[in-house]
Amino acid sequence: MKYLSLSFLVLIGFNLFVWYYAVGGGEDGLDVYFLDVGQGDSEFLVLPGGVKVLIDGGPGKEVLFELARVLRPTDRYIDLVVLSHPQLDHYAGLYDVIKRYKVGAIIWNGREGEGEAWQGFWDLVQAEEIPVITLGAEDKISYRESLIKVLSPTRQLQQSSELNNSSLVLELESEGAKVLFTGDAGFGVENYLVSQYDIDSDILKVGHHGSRYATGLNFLAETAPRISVIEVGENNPYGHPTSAALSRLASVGSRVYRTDQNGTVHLEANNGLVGVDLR
Amino acid sequence: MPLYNLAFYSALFFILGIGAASFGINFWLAILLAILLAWAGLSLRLKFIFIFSLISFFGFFYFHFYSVLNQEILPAGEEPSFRGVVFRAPKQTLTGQEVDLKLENPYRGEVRLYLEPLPRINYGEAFEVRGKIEKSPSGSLNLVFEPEVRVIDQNQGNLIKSSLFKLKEKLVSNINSVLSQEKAALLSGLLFGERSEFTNEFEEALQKSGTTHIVALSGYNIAIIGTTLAGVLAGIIGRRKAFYFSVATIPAFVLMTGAQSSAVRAGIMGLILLLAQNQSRIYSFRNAIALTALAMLLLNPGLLRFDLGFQLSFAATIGIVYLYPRFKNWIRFFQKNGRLNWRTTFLQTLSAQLAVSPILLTSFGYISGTALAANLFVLEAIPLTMFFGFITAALGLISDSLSLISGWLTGLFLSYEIFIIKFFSLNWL
Repeated sequence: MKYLSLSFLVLIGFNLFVWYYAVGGGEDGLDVYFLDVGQGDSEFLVLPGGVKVLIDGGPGKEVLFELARVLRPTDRYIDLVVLSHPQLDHYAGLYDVIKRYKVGAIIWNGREGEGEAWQGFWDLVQAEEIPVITLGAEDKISYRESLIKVLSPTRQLQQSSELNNSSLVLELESEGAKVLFTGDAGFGVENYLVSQYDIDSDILKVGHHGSRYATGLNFLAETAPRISVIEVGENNPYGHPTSAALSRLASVGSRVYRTDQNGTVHLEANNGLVGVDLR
Repeated sequence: MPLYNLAFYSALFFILGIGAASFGINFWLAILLAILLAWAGLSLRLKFIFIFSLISFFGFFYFHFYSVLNQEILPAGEEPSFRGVVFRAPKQTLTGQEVDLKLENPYRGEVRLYLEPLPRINYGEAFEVRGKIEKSPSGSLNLVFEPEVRVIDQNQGNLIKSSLFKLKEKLVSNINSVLSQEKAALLSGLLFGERSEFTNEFEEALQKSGTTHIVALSGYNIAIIGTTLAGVLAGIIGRRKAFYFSVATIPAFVLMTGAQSSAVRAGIMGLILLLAQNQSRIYSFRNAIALTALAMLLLNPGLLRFDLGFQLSFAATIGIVYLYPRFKNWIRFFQKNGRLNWRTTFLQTLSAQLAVSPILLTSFGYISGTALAANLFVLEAIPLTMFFGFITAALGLISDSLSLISGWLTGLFLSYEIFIIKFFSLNWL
């Protein structure tokens, strides 16, 4: 009898727990998180309706901490994982994501990485039997009202001698906002995008961590982003973001957020309104 | 002199010799100290003074003998290449991997490689490495940052170790799959002493609140694991078999968790305790700890001076056993028994803290002012956390949904502990 009230409490708590996770969540609106993973890229999207997309995983395990902050503790499923291009600061973290989360499918540009690191990653993808989908320019992913267009790479860019230019470039249209994810793409790809598409956007993930060889002026003039986010690590050895890229962004009047200064940047779009949430 | 005293003093004086040698004390001075201790300190008879100072001399000699035999031979040159085998489970940290390599002929010694997070390195792999070897600031480790490596062979390690490491990896991943990152990291630390996924902030919070010891496997963890296992098993397979099972499990557990000094100490002393109970003999703490230290130092006399875990573990244990009862007799308030045993926890923490504070001061330069309070709050919850944590990790082998339930319960305790650790790591002064 001594433990009756205690066990009662535990049972009530357990009930709350089950119902909270069974019923809770599923709010509307688009959430875009630019995760603070150090020197590397990782963006996490929750589309209206609850589909979760992770673009790149950064250079290590930091992505797990960031995801744990965003996802409910028992949520172990990510619908889509996108690998923009096979470089360590984009896929190393995905290794741990795949180990810890169930992944619906992996989307990539079809270009193999190099060395044992890539082999180890790809072996894991195969061992976990995750469906792999190769996408390129002109492909689309749609879910309810949201649309993700793949703008690049073309067949030619996919084989580019510059690995960065094979990056998957995605344009997300949802809740009245347009978000452009450019991976590590440089000037060459940007010029191609300008010539081929209407790339006017509200939010830009700045290409190649703010390197001087990306985010050109003519590209910025076309995209005219209200908000730009640069994903970089503090005191990184590459000098990213460069003052060249920063001043070009300033010249088009874009509001710049940086993961090294702001931490994870969370943008919420709701019916054409975009809110910024910094923690 | 009775045999048990003879054994104790022999061990003591041998360790004394090792200590003198490793701290670079002059040989004659060391022998003089040994004689003084035996004559004035212990009032021994002439015969024993002679015997024990001779044993001190052996200890002194053994230290040098061992270091000459095991002198490291490192490859020379700006960026030499060499071969080696991974002899410990690699640490997958937040930003990369720490891999400990035992060098192969013609070289001898150990180096630690800092590698990119991928490809994942496994225990027992053999490497060809090219990179610059640097000394760590303390001088006790050889570090190689981001070398070129090539795997040349696999499964060069011990078969038992490698399967134990795999088991640990599986258990840790079970924890990871039901708990959020921060909680999972703490639980892996509590259960397996696995600290690779701690953030720098959390590591610092542990230090500032004086609670690092809860994630360093020690007698505390091993006792909880041992008693839980033995208790459960005694009900299922009977007392006798449970004894043999525990005797087999403790060394396996120590090996699985990477044989840190504190765990080895606790493991050996635990085995001695079990054996004493089983044979209905008296368990003498004094002899047990002296022989444990002796055994560990025979395997590696360098531990005494260079292994912080060894020093802290022995100091804390001695503190708890010898200081705690004195405090208790001294202050009447602490002789009462309240709820939750908090008086005992308080005094034991105080005893351990006092005993390790000289070591903490000399190696870290500060001691935590909030340690007493933090430990008082945290330690109360640790046994239950570990109990449910173990169930969670084990259930994960059977069913994810089942381990989700116990994981939730464990998570409640873990978030309480994380809160306390962070709270008491704030700058209070």
